Amino acid sequence: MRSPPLVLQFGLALLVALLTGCGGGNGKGCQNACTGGATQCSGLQVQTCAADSSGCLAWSTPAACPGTLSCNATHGTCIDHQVTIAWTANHEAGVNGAGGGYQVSITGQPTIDVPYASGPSAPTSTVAHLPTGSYSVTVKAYAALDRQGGTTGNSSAASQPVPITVP
Amino acid sequence: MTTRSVVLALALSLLVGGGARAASPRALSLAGARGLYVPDEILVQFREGVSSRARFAAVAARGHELAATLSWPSWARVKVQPGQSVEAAVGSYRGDPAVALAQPNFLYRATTVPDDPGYAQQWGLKNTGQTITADNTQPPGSALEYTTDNPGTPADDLNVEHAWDHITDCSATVVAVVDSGVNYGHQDLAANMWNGGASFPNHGYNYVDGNADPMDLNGHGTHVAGTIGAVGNNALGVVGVCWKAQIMAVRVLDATGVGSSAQILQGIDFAVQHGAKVINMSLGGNGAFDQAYSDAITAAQAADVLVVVAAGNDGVDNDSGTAPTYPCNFTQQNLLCVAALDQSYQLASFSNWGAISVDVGAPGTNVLSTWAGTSGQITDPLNTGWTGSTTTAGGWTYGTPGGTACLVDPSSYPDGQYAQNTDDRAYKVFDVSGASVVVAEIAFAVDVANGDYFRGACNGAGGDPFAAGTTLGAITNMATYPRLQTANIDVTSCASAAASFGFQLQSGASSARGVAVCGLTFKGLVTNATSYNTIAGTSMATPATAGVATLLRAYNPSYTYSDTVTAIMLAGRPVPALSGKTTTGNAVDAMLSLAYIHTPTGVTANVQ
Repeated sequence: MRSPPLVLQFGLALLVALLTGCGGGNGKGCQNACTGGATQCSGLQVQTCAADSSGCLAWSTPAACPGTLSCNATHGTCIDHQVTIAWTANHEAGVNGAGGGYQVSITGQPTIDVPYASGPSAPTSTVAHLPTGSYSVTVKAYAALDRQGGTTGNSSAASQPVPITVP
Repeated sequence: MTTRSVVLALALSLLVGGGARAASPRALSLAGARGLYVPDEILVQFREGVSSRARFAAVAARGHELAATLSWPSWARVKVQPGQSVEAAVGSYRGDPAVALAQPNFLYRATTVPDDPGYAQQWGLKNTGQTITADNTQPPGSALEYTTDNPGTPADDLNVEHAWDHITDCSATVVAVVDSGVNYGHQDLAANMWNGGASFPNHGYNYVDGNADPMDLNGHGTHVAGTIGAVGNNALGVVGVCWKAQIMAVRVLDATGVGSSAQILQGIDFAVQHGAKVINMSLGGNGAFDQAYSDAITAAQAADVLVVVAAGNDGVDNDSGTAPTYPCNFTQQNLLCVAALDQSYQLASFSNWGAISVDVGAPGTNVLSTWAGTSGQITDPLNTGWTGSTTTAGGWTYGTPGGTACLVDPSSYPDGQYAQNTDDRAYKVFDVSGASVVVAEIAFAVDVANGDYFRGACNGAGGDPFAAGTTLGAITNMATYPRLQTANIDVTSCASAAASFGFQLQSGASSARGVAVCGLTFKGLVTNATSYNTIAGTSMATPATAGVATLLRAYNPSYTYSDTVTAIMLAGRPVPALSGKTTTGNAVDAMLSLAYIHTPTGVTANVQ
């Protein structure tokens, strides 16, 4: 393939330089892509606007949000998606006593154990921190007493699944 | 699977043999073990010749601690690392040439078995395949009522022994026996009667006589009460499903075992108003829908009271549309209807069933329990000793219609007709003294015209009871021929050493086939505190279920009637003989119901 004439090559280079800002902005031959300190989401990860190696402001490489936080596209920042899961108390003494409690299952997440601690009944709610997505929640009750009369444990069937969507 | 087999499987899976040798068969001595193992300990068996120093080193190398050498010296009790599972600790010795075997330090518990001498005969609680004997029947020496599947099949029972490891005391839940009363002074019941305070010092109420003395003059209610809550582990008699209980006695059936709607619904209301949470009603009747009766059960439901009832003893399908049995066929959610199973968990031949109306099955044949006293009976042969009179000709004579000895009038019965304008009498003197109650059971076929009468009468002083005595009943304008009808009549008021009982056929200007009396038995009961009886019926399966219900509600104080019904129905044991014959196909299983955990409901998830 033939190369364009030299004059045309120079003209194209000038046009690119004008469009990208290089040679302007901060005076170091590049132009800022964002406002310093701003954040935006890349999937569930977050990008922060900071100076790159050339001194221009640019979006960082996507990074995981800290702890249980996840990036919310609407807000463009890491936020805590708390999901409160609650259920009606079981009436079994074994569920509401030592060795009893509930297990909360959320698709794709580790099972949350909600054991009996003290008082007349086991807790009937828990808080989960979830990334954006769709989930199904079920709850089982359990007790120490097993079907043979021992104490190896026994659990109920899973509750009807409840769908949730974390924005 | 039994507990024993589960624990053995666990034990074998956790045994680790060192070196090339397999797990020692000695592990099988663990048979009978149950429950878990000590969480932070294991047992290690070292090979012969391994020095104490080498043992210590082997244990220390794993971060364990030699806690003790057992008296069986090759074995050591070893403390494992904090947080380390027993399984991992046992596994860490795999392949160690110094170690013959490593295993969990299993925990053992004694199975709770009562010392009541009759327990060995209570197959419904513990079926070992034992033969049920007639040693405890009433009248003493009489034969068992039910002979099929005796002995039966081991483990076809309520599975209550394992439940007893966790609860035997049901006294937190008041259970009402709405029946013929309860012998509240019985040695196996007195300590387990409801405390009715000063208002009800005899532990209940009597709606037959309208007073606060619900003493059982039949035996049925006392038998029911014993199945629910005969005192356990008192080295006397029998044991109930509940070893300790609060049994409320509500008498709605008379000495003959009969009660009216009014008596029964008042009895239900008494139980509800005075705190019963389980009502046992081993009674029933065929007939039309009884609105008042139904309303009483609905009121019990509103008060969170579970009502356990019998399927009936006619050997029929309650759902056929031709033979509904109430209260079983009522549809309230707090009603649990029970069929009877025999000793091999076959449906008892007499038991009603119903894929819509009957919920579960329970042991109901050859059931040994408490009895109100010593029963006795006199059966007349109806072929000698009767004194007859007539105002015309003929009158009562001995006959054998159908080959059975009967008193008949006219003598040509059933082919002729009785005389018009006649007064025919026959009576006989019996010694029916010494009993607390005497019931005459009369079997007869009758065909009398309107205005003509067939009567019975008695007189404690003897003589013609129609000249001076008590009329026991009168029938007119009725034809049951050829079907024999049975009537049970309380004749206690006439009881003496020389009491006369008689029959009369009195006619006007009409005539009919007449009367045949083909059965006459006097049944007496001398109440005492020490009697027992072995009988059969859905009436016996019902208290087995009510006992389990009481056990469940005592163990789970927050349980509602609905929780209890669900735990009994859904956590029962599938029995082929009940499939298609009950709503669940299940037999009541105390341990499975006790371990049942309801599926959580009302789950919500809110995103913040």
